[in-house]
Amino acid sequence: MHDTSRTAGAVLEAEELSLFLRAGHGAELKIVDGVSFSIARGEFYALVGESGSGKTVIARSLMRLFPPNTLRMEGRLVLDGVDLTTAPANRVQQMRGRSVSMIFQEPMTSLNPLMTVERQIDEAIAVAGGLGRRERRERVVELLADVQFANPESVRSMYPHELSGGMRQRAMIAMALANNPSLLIADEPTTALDVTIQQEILQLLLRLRDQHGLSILFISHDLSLVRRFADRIGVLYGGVLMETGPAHGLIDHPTHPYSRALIGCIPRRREAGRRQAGIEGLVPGVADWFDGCRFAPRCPRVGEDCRHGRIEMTSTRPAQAARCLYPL
Amino acid sequence: MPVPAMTVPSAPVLRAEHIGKTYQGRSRLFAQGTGVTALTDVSFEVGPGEILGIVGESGCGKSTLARIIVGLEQASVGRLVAGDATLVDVAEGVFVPPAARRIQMVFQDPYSSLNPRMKVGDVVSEGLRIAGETNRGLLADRVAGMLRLVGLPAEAASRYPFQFSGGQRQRIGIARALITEPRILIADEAVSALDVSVQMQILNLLLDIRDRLRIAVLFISHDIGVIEYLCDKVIVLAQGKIVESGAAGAVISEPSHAYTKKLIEAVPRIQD
Repeated sequence: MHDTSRTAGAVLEAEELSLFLRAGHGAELKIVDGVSFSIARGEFYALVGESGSGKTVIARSLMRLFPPNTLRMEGRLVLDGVDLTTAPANRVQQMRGRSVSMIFQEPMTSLNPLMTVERQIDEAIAVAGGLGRRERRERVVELLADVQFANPESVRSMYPHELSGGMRQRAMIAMALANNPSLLIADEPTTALDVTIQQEILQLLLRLRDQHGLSILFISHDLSLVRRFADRIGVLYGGVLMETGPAHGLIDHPTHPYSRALIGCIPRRREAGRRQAGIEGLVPGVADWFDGCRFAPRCPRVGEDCRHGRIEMTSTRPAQAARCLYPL
Repeated sequence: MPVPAMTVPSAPVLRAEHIGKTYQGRSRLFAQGTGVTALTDVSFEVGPGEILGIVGESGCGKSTLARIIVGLEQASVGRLVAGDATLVDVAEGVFVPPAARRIQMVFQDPYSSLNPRMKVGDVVSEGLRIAGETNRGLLADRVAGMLRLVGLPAEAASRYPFQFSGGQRQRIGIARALITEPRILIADEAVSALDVSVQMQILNLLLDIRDRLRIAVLFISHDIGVIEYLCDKVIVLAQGKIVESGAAGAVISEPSHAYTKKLIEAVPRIQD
């Protein structure tokens, strides 16, 4: 029997989740390797990593945004009590929008340029069914007010090109929230926006979380940003979850050498001309994965035993764990 | 023996005086006789071996300013002086063409700014070939020297851009810019598209190049952390005007203008 006490209140739970993408000729590439994490109701969880770390693939697997038969999942990925690794396609289809929805980096390319804001949001509400035309119209205005448009009545009839980048992202959020999902996935939603607008969107996400108990899975490469806004963080590298813990704790006291190196790459003021070191070498490509710790070839603390076998997550600080034999 | 930089105030490599740019509205969308003002009264100086940061949000005019300096765009008013040569003087009708300015650019996206069908050696040597250099042996030597300077192996010359990672491509872009021995390098969001671990490598490369070549660098960015790490001086642009300027550390730790304060507060930083 599965231990439910540990997962009480978890909206999403990934357990030893591995993701494989089929490349032609029956070949498969392992993109994500045995990742475990959970997100509680009303929690803002951030997955951070560099390109190729697997963060976006995890987000998209939750929405099953892959062509049929290209993604294979192992392990468990439980959303609102349904295991997505075994659920049939029509069940997953039903959950999109209701249990989970997603916003993307570039709001202009995710909105239909030929449809007014109202029609796009209405489409999302209509999919769920059950509401008459007038109720749906009221719901649109309510959603627009919810994402803090000062004048929802006039925004309703606008087209995407009439909105600024920040306004488009808010329209996207309104659409995503149309059917009260438990989990919102935000894949680099502010990367394309100016910093002051970025701030506004994140404040909005926090407010929605507090008001509706929304859980947020935030995908980002920006460690300073997630330190300010997330509750907990998972650090991904080469498809493996290297470290997880509370946002401030992990970033102020990283225990995995990779987390520390990554945090050390964030530019700061140079005291007396001192340079910060980058990380030598490159992130390993999915096709060249090897046994042992994926960070071993670039790690300053590497030992011989790091280079083979499987390295387990171990607790390193309160509520913080790292997949490392020689944690800091 | 190192000479303290402050004792002898060296002549600026580049001086911009009251640069302004107005785009004349051709369509009837704008009332007649008015246009869109992209830049107003922009003045600054950059010395040899100095890195000047240009910060601002989208639409502030930072890329227009870069295009005017490099010569891809004509200023509506103002003067641009490099060393003792006048590059632009709108009142006097002076406009030195881009190829004669010895100013080079490095662009944001390392994936789209390199011709995918040219070998890296040809990409890097193109500036010299356009300038009329035909000696193959000399071109190959110069390419090898440039690749070494930016930390790439000499064999890179015979490969194609797709065989390189984003950070390596940005090194190629820097080698291409430096081969013509420019006096000024303009980097327009040159590290924004890179992963942080790679970003730091490129920032350190720019510092090395500045130290070795004593070149002046104009570094355009929206990233306050990067500006603080890299730049000596900074100008903050808002709606085409300089709202604040000064030593980078001072402007960022004690901004005096309300806009700069807002901009800096909006950026989460680790040392908060």
